[in-house]
Amino acid sequence: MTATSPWGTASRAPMRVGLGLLNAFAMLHGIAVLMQGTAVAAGPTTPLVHLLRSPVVAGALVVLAVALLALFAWGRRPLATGSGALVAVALLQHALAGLDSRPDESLYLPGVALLGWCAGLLFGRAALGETTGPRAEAIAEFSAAGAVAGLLALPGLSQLVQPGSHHAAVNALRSVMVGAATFEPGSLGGRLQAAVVDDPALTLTLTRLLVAFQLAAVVYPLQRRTRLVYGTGVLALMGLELAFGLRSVDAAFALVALFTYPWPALARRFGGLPALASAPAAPDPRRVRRALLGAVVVAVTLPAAAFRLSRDPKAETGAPPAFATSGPESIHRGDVSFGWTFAATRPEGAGFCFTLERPDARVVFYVVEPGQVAATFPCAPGDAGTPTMAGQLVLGTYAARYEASPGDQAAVDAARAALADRFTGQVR
Amino acid sequence: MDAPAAPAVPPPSPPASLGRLPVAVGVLAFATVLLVGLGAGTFYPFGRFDFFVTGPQTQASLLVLVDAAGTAHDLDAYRSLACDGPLRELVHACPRQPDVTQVVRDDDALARLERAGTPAAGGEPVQLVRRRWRVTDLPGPPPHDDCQICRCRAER
Repeated sequence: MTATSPWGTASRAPMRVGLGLLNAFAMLHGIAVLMQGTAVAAGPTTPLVHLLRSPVVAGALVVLAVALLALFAWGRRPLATGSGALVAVALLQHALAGLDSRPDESLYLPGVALLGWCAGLLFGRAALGETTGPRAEAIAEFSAAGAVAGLLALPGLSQLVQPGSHHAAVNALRSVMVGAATFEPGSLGGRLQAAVVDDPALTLTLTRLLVAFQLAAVVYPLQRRTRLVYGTGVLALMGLELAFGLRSVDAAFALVALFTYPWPALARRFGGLPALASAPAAPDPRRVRRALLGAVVVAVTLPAAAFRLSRDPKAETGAPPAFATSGPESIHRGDVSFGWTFAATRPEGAGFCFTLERPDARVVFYVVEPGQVAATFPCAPGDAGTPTMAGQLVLGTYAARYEASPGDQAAVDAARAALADRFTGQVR
Repeated sequence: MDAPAAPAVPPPSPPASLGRLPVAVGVLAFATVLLVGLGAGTFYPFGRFDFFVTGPQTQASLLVLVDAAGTAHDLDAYRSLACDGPLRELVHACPRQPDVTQVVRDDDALARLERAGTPAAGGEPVQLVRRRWRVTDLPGPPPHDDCQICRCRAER
């Protein structure tokens, strides 16, 4: 065991403290960023979201989450307090998700590590009969490292299973790079930026390498050495993003560093963190086997449930997408939202066309289901005016393409908010 | 003759007594998060982070300073800066992409502009613009247009 964790035989208590602090920091920072982005927020969508967005309820949830994370870091009933904090942050995230269209890695990575830690403690209870102490926390550490690795691998697998996503990823990476920063002519950063942005073939190679690297995350929880190598690779990538102004030194950065390096051994050189010396008996093999069997059942059942819940049953029967036929609350021709009228709504291919009109503007959206790529614009091109301004955006987890009159970005912004208000949360 | 005393063997540490069990739990956690995330999509704390695939990712924009020679510079390239007009209103009048990242970056840029000191004497004339790119499938630098925001005087 000492060969498989960078933390060796040292107490995992500092790791638990770090995990609690990073989650608290990530939550507070994430909320601040989301609140800063209220200018592009969609309106409240469901009574629950409306309730959660009220300052009193949101403030109470923040205080509750911080208090639970402090107790977790302190080691007070860590399974209960850690799980409770996760639920509180999840509620906040649910309420604020409509304010941002993208999940924030700096919030999700500490969150999934906390989830993994709690799952490890739960396993410790089943296999060892304990949720605190060195043995339970040693299992929790690996469970958290595995969960972090799973989240790091997810974008790669997601891209691998979505047809046509490589092509979209190439232009996405090029646009991210070109808009990342302005470098002085002839500088190293400028040359690197130009190399990626100007050459789609090179960008395609880079995106493929990135997918391979993401999938290699499976080695992260296996061995001390693989964790060190892979974690350093992740930090190097994050450093590259940092150099291009695409991220700051955030909680995700610190979390990977916390789990990757042998901090206790480093600290011991300076006289801190003695190794653990006690030697509890090995766990009962039969109990461990039962716990493992239970964990395997959970590992099979949860993904199956997730796939079942996210699948649209009507899609199998060839019916239009769920959001087109979800009853009177779905979007209809003539509906009005934020001063925009839905002039036309019709299913089209794997998605739906919405034409939004107000006296001075007209915007046409093509919205596809989560997991689909809006690679084309099948909604009567040119319907919004000729020539048209076209682009892509996201509505929660849905992707959309749009067309509008040239130069009328303000109208697109406003129509997007109008569509998102009717769309998000009502589509299932 | 007394037998030599056996060397004291330190007891195994608590984690050592668990064998490969933690690694097995770690691999199970990896597989579970990976597959649940793939099935559930974005649902805290699961997230596919696949906005590179489905996001608004054929356009980009950035606030830059263009000098008299037409070369674009980062806002940090100048030590001090003085611009004409109400900066925030002027910047917001130049449309950006409707996503929160752009809002935050705009706010950061504005804070940097507002923090910059005033040039001591004169300074060189520059133009604050929102440069907007539209990435196509064609190789080469993507085409861009500039939304003019205001004129400034700046000093390196």
